[in-house]
Amino acid sequence: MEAQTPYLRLLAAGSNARGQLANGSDDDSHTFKECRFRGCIEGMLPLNTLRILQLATGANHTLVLLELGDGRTELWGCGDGRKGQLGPEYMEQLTEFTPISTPLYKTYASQGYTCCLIAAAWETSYLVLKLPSRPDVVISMGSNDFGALGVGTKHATATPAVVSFDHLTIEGRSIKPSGLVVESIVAGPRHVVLHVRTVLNNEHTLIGWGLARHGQLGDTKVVNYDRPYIISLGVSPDPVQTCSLGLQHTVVCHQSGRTTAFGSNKKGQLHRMDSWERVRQVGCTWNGTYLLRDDDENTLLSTGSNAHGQLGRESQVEENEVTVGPVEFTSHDGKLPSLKFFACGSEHVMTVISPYGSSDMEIWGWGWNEHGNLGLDHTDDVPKPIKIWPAGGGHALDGRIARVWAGNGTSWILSQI
Amino acid sequence: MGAYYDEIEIEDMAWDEVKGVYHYPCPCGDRFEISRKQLANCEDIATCPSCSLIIRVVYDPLDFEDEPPDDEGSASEESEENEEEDDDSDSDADKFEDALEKLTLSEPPVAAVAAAA
Ligand SMILES: [Zn+2]
Repeated sequence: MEAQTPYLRLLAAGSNARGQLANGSDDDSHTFKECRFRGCIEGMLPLNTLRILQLATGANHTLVLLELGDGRTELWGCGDGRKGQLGPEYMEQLTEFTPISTPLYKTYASQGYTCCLIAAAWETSYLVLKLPSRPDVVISMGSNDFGALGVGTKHATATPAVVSFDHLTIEGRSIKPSGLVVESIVAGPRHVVLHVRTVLNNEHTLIGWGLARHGQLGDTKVVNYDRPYIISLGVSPDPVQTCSLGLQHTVVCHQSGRTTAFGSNKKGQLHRMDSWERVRQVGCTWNGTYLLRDDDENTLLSTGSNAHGQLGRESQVEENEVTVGPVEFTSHDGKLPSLKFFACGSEHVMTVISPYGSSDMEIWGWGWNEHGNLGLDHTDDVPKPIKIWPAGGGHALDGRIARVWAGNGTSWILSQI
Repeated sequence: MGAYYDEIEIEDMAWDEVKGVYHYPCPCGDRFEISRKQLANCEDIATCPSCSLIIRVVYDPLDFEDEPPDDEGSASEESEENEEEDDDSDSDADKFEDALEKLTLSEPPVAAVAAAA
């Protein structure tokens, strides 16, 4: 039923030194340009693509996980492959999205496993493979700086590896016999956090590894963990809904809407971020934290570094003073828009909003813009939210905004026609 | 707005054996880099080749004082004698340069840092 698959366009803007925007070049792009998929009609995703399940950005590489019409998923990647982050087949650079299929991944795929979750740290990629009634499998590949692979320090980095959780015990019981269900995996540049559930007794736990010395994995006992480590945060009574990672901090949104934040507070990124309630979504820039509240005004609160206007509230912020407050959306009619979703890049933020009383969707953004990553055709920082998309003028095929993502000086728009 | 994107302890930087530099992620996707020799010379600014951001590296120069020079030049000894001088990392290519020349060479980076402060 190919005729029924939607017409999807993926566009990207910003930093592109290794081809991570997949637009066929390795020059920065200050406007949104269509991403290319190898062997596909220009400007289109692979035929039969239903949607993009996830898009994950590393330093200079990008992964997309596609859901196809037949229920299968496909992992495509582009950008820098020199550390093995795109798998052993692509150790140079790719300037268009290319199917990623390592021998290890193929071994599991031949048993029926499907790639269901992905994440990207600085130069390391993570894949979670699932098969009903079998334990989930976590594969890591790429750089092993600060133990990012989660398989100890001796591993030859270019070879993808399966991360073992066999050494862990939860509530005094080894998780080895039945294994784990990975509910989510999120990576910051230097650490990774998994929300897992034990198959045996449905115990929810957060597990992480990588750089730890600022408390971003729950304590400051060691510089880094090079194997999975249980984060000492009792999440079972109130399991994790979403989780977001900055450069040196971690913020958890529980299913109740409560938040927990830990790690470095050097830039005020944890300031009053703990114990909020009625939070719908949390997000972290590298040195900031953003909470979308589930109130009538659906306020987006921000705290942390504001050196490049990342907090999006120009009029409230005093220099050298750490504050938390709402991002200032100023529409021409003075009425507050309805916030649907937001995505944090390294030092900028993208949001999907509906103007007051409208069902139209628009993308607004702000923050650091040195690489033209807001797609505004300039490189000046933007200290207050402004409309980015529809860009206006000659975009007849803009379509409906389906999703946004933000990476390290990069922004991404998925539209659907 | 501060002069530095961040001040980073050396423990947070990764070591690149091949390039011989400590590095730290830059939000543009590239990385801030500084060599052991620069650290031995009491330099503490790590730069990103792809953007304007810079970081200040927090470290103990004594940890790097045994750093051998890249060639037969004696940059680290010079820097101990003249601590204010901002030795350009390329300057030991010419080991016969005199102090006056060296001062001239080091002017642009010093001025750039001062302007950003
Ligand atoms: Zn940079």
